[in-house]
This record gives sequence, structure tokens and C-alpha cells, in this order.
Amino acid sequence: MSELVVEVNNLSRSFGKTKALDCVDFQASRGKVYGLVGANGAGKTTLIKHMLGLMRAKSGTVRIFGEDPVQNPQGVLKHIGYLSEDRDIPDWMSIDELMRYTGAYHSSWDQGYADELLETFTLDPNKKISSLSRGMRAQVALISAISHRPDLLILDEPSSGLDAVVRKDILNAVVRTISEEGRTVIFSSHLLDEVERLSDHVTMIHNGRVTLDSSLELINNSYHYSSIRFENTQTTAPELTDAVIVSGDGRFWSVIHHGSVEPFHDSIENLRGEIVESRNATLEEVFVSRASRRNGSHPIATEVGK
Amino acid sequence: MKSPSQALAWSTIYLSWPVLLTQIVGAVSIIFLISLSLDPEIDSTESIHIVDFVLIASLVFLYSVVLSKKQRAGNATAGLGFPYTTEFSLPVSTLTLLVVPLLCFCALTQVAIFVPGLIVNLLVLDAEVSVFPISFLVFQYTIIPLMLTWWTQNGLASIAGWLIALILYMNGLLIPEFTRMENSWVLVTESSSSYIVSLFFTAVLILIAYFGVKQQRSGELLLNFGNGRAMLGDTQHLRSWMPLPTPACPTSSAIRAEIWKERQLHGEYNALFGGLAGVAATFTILSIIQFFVPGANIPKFSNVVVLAMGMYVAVCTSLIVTLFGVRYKNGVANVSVHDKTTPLNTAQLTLIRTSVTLGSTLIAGLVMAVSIWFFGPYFINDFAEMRALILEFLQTLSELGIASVTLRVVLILFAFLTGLLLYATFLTWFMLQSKKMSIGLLLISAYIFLVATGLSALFGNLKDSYVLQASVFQSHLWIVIFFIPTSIIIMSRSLLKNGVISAKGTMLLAVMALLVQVLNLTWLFGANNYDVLQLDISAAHLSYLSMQGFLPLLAAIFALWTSDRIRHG
Repeated sequence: MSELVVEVNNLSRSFGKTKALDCVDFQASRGKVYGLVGANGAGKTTLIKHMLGLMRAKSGTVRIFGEDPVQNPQGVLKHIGYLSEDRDIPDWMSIDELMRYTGAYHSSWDQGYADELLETFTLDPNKKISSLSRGMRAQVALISAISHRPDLLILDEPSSGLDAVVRKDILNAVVRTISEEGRTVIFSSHLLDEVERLSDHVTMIHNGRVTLDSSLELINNSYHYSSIRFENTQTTAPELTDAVIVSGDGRFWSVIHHGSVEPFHDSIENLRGEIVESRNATLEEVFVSRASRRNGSHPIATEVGK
Repeated sequence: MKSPSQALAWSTIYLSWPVLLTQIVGAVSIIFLISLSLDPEIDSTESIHIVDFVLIASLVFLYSVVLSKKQRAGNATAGLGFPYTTEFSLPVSTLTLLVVPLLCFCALTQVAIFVPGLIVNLLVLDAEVSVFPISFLVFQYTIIPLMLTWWTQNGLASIAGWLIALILYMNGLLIPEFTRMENSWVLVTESSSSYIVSLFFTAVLILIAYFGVKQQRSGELLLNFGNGRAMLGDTQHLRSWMPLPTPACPTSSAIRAEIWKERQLHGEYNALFGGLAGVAATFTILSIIQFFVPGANIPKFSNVVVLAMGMYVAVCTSLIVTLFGVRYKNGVANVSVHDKTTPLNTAQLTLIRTSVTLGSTLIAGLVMAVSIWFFGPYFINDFAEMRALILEFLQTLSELGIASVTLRVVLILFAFLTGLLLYATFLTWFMLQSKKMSIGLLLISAYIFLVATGLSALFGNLKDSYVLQASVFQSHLWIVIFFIPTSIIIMSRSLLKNGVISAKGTMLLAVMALLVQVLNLTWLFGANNYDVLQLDISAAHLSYLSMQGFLPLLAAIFALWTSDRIRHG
């Protein structure tokens, strides 16, 4: 199998006049956790559906383990564990039946692991799925997605329906274990603190375009937040070197900027300003700044080799 | 919109007009197509009855689509009860909430009957029409079922309400008893007071519905007994209703696991219960008719066959409706992502689903036939005669020889399963509300409508242009003849391109199709059949009969193509 688990090249998709995906490039390699972030309707789920072969690429290409998921759904899907956003599992089955049914498709199914997780979540295998609460349903769906120890785990909004404890401890443990075993995890979320906590790599999608695609480390090191006080009132937003977004009024302004800090500091001095506070920007601040920019925004340099 | 009533009326009409338009154009087109294929010398009474049937069927279509659409827009989970639940929070009185949509539906059904009825009468029949009695009938048939559906969310109370209404109906208290003048739509009632009696009971129904809706608005049930609401909006599984013994899911192979799953969803239990339900419904209807109309000679062999066949079609529909995995969830048709991401290829999935489901329809048929055979004497007057007729038929068959009988049985089986598969596939696209299919159907209907209008403009009355009708029918039959191979080729190419079928799979399908075609031609040109079909049969008709041997292949390819579209968009 190729070292690149997912290769999406120049993928576009429209629904009527709405461009859900616009020339999207996305790659994922082994042993890493990828976070897909974006506002509702940004195109995250559409991208995931293309990866699963649930949508045919009208323009561009999608390769999972080097294969087209539409041409060879059987070959691709048996290596994937998928947790859908609406936890879509057959509710007429019992939990045990679902485990047996899912296990039949995957030679790598680990019944011991499934039983262990069922015990952790205190789920009764004889219970009908239709009788479960939303949270329990999410837990069952998660177990059936991961118990065959998939080479690629795709989680669409995994936190939805999970309580705080499960979300923070168990989901983290599951995701980390899978990536440490050399497998790949792609998950979409609008909870940016969760993405920050779990991901090695972040891809931001806005209006169907990838606006940021980089390792979390690089984002943390290259994006900064600065609070600035100027000597004189600024009637318009001050023009500062490498600023991504500038907000405020009068003498007090907040800036998200990226790249080297020296030219930025020089530009403040030129406008007779001083930095009140400076720190690395949070992922949320980076997300808001990228999402707020007009469509002309472009992805920053991506990490080589990812 | 200046008032809440206007806003309510607008929302009802807005959701209804596309269906109304489709219904009018569709009804006129179907009647025109029937008139093309009928002999012009046919008894005009029969023509009028056909038109009656088409108009009533299309009205039922309109009624069900509009109502279900409104329910999805309103309360997605409740199948019974007042559907406009999202409007409960609007600052309007309950009376307005009830009466405005009611009046809109009444107006809608009047348009739905009179517009196509008058067009057809003008183009084809030229019969006399009495407007008021028909309008009154349509009004009653609209308002009564609506009130009986809306007044309660309680399933048992609703059934009780329908039964009481049935008794009133049988006694002529809900609908006046009309006498129909021959070859016309002129209806006469003996006493005009029967209108007043009907209206009185309708008013009572509206009053009950008003109090029922008022209770529902405050989250209560008018009658608090029984099982509460029936979730008719969602597709239900037999296993959700009763604890049936089932074998454990096999884990040895993916295909065996998938077959197990399909058997749980569409397998032998569904066939058994479906068949028994079909028989029960047949006998119940017969018993009700005998109870309320003791003099009726309805439980005759031919009537029982028609009734049982109708029930069997209903059973088959319920079995095949989810063949492609389309289910209603929260009132919306969709295919579960879990089904779509099953790690099997599309051809395997389709083959497993089709085999299990179509097998179940045959089992259900067998269950119905055997049950009627054994329990028929208790419900059917001339059952002995019916048995004798069947035995006589079997005797005639046995005289034909084993090869001939086998050929016929195989062909009938192929024809039946092909028809069912095509029906299931079209039903699926209908459920998914495919825009392209809707536009296609609308364009075809509009085309037929325009041809009908054009011909009637040329000849005044279509009955006077039989020669032209025959040539129009035959020239259009050629379209169907060329459509079969063309669509097979186009869809096969798409399936090959998308990797749904391999070159080897295509060869296998082609060989099987040729085999069926050889059987079809053997039957068609067999010594006893071609003569029956007459040697002066038209080239178009003969070509169509020859080409129908490829219909099983078309059904198979169409099913695969549909599965591929559903799975991969």
C-alpha cells in the first residue's frame, strides 16, 4: 500500500449553483491524526463522503490506499472504520448482532477489543439499538467503527452525542491508540479545542475551499495574537505587515498575524504603537481570522511531506 | 399576506400546486393513451367507467402525495392526527387552523376532478355532466377521510372512527344514494333531503375534529386509551414489532452476513406475515361486504380472484418497497449511510437484496394461494365451483406436455419477476423524488397531452379518427421498441465504466438474456401462439412482442444502475 493513505486532488463538487467543494487538495499519510475544521456547510462532510465513495468525483480525483473508492468500494471500505455524523446504524439489530454483522466483513475484527469497549461503556450486548439513548448509540457506533482496527478511521463530528467524560477521555484514548499503532485518523469537528487537543494536522475548509492546511505545530508557531495601543486614534484599520485580520477601533487594536514577528513589530513602531500583549494564537482565533477573510484568502505554505 | 388565514392557505396551496398540475396532465394523458389503444366501437359506458377509474385513482394519488408532503413539512413523526403541528404555535384560533387547510383541500380536489374531467369530456367522450352532484360527492369524499384522519392521534380510536363512518356510509347517511344515467355523468338522487342528512353528519365530524385538534394543540388526546400514535411516517421493521426467533448472524463471510441481514429485513417472516395479512384482508373485506350487503353476490370466484390479486399486489408492494434500502426516517426517504458503506461491491449487494426480496414475494403468493385453497369454503359462496375451475385449468395444462408447460411457467415467472423489479426500481426513484425522473414524466405527459389536443383540434372528436389513432399508437410503439435496447446499452456502458459489472459479468448477463429471449421467441412463434396472435399482426406489435424478451435484462441492468446511483450519487 502507498505511504499516502488519502490523496484528494483538485476535487470540485457543486449542488446546483452552490459550490460545495472548490478545487480541494488533501493528503493524509500513515500514523497521523488529521482534523477537518470548518463552519456548518463548509464542505467537510462532502469531502468525507467523497473519501468513502458515497459521492462520485465529478471533477478531480480521490484515491484511498491508492484505489478509487467508487470503482472498488469493497476493497476500500474494508480498510475503513467510519462513524457517521448521525450515528446511522441499523436500529432493528441488537448490539451483539451488530458486532457479529460488522465482524463478518472484517477479517481483522477484534472481538476481545469490542467486548472490552462494551464493558467500558457498560453496554448490554443483548439490548436493541432502537432502545438506546443518543449517547449510547454513539458509543455503539464508535465501537463498531474501531473494533476491526481499521487502517483509516474517519470520524464525522465524533463528539456529537457523547458526554463530556467519553469525549475527553475515551475518544482521546481511542484516537491516540489508533495513530500510535501506525494507522490514520481523519475527523471533522467544529469543536476547535478538541481538534487542537487531538490533531497532528489541521485542514480548514471555508466555502468549499481549503483555506489552511498545515501541521498543528506549524500553525502554533507561525500565528500570533497581539494587542496594540497606538499613541493616536486610528480612524481606519492600521496597515500592519503580515496581519491576517485586524479588529478594534480608536487607539486599541487586536491583530492576528503570521510569519516572523520582527517586520510586524517594525510596522507598529512606524505607526507609533506599542504591544500590550503578545502570544501564540489559539486555533479558534486562527480559524476565525481565516474564515473572516474574503474569498481571496490562500492557504499558507503546507508542511513538506506531511 | 394580510392575515393568518391567507398565510395558511398560501402554504397549503404552495405545497400542492405542482402535484395538482402533474395530476391533471397525468390523468388526461393516461385517458388519452387508453383511448388510443381501445377499439372505437367499444361501449361508451365502458369508456366512461375507465375515465371514472383513472380520475379517482389520480385523485387518490394527489390526496396521498399532498397530505404526506404536508405532514413531512409539519410533523414528521405522526402518521395520524392533525398534520399542521408546526402551526400550533401561530397566533390563530384552532378553528382557523382547521378550516383553512380543509377548505383549501376541498377546492383542490374539485379542481383535480373537474379540470381533467372536462378536458377529457371535451376531447373524447362528449357526455352529459351534472356538476352539482359530482361536486358534492368530491366534497364529501375529501372532507370525511380528512376529518377521520385528523381528529385523533390514537390508533385504536382512529380505527373505531373509521368503522363507525363505514356503517354510516353503508346506510347512505354520509353520501347520498345516486342513480346514474347510462352513458353519462348525470347523477340523480331520489330525495334532496339526503344532501341535508349527509351535511349534518359531516358537520358532526367537523365538530369532533375541531375538539380533537384543540386537544392535540394542548398535547392531549381526545380519547386516552389504546396504543397512542402509530408511526406511519417511518418505515417499520417486522422485528421491531414482535420478538421473532432468528438465527445468529453468521460471521464466517461477508456475503453470508449480508444474506442474513436481508432475510431479517425482507425474508421469509415478511413473506409469511405479508401473505397471511393479504389473506386476512381479503376475507375481512368479503365478510364486511356480506354483513352489510347481505344480498350482494360479490363473493363469486371472479370477484374473489380480483380482490385477492389486488391484495397480493399490495403485499408485493410492501415487500419490494425497501428493496434498494430506501426507508422513511422522520418522514423523509433516504438510504442509510451504514447500508451504503457496507464493504461489498454494488453488484453483490444488488443480487443479494433482489434475490431475497423477490423470493419473498413468491413465498407470500404461495402462502395466500394455499390459505385461500384451505379456508376459502368458509368465506366464498361458490368455492367448490372455483376449485373445479382450477382443477380443470390444471388438467388442460397437463395435456400440453411437460416441455410446453415448463416453458410457459418459466416465462410467466420471468415476466412476473421482471415486472416486480421494474416496479420496485421506479417506486424507489419516486420515493427519492428524483428531479430528473419527475421532469421526464412531466415532459412525456405534456407531450401526450399536446398530441391529444392537436388531434382533437383536427378531428373535433377523437372517436372519429380511429385510423389516425391506430397509426399514432403504432408509431409510438416503435419508440418503446427502440427504447429497450438503447437504454440497455447506455446503462451497461455506465456500469462497465464505473466498475459495477466486469466484462465477465456482462457476458454472463448477455448469455442469460439471450436464453430468455430464445424462450420468448419459442413461445411467440410456437405452433399454437403465432396463429393466435394473428398473421396480419402489425410489424410494430410483432416487434414489440419479440423485443419483450429483453425486458428481464433491462430490469436487471436498471436495478444495478439504480443501486450504483444511490450508493455513489
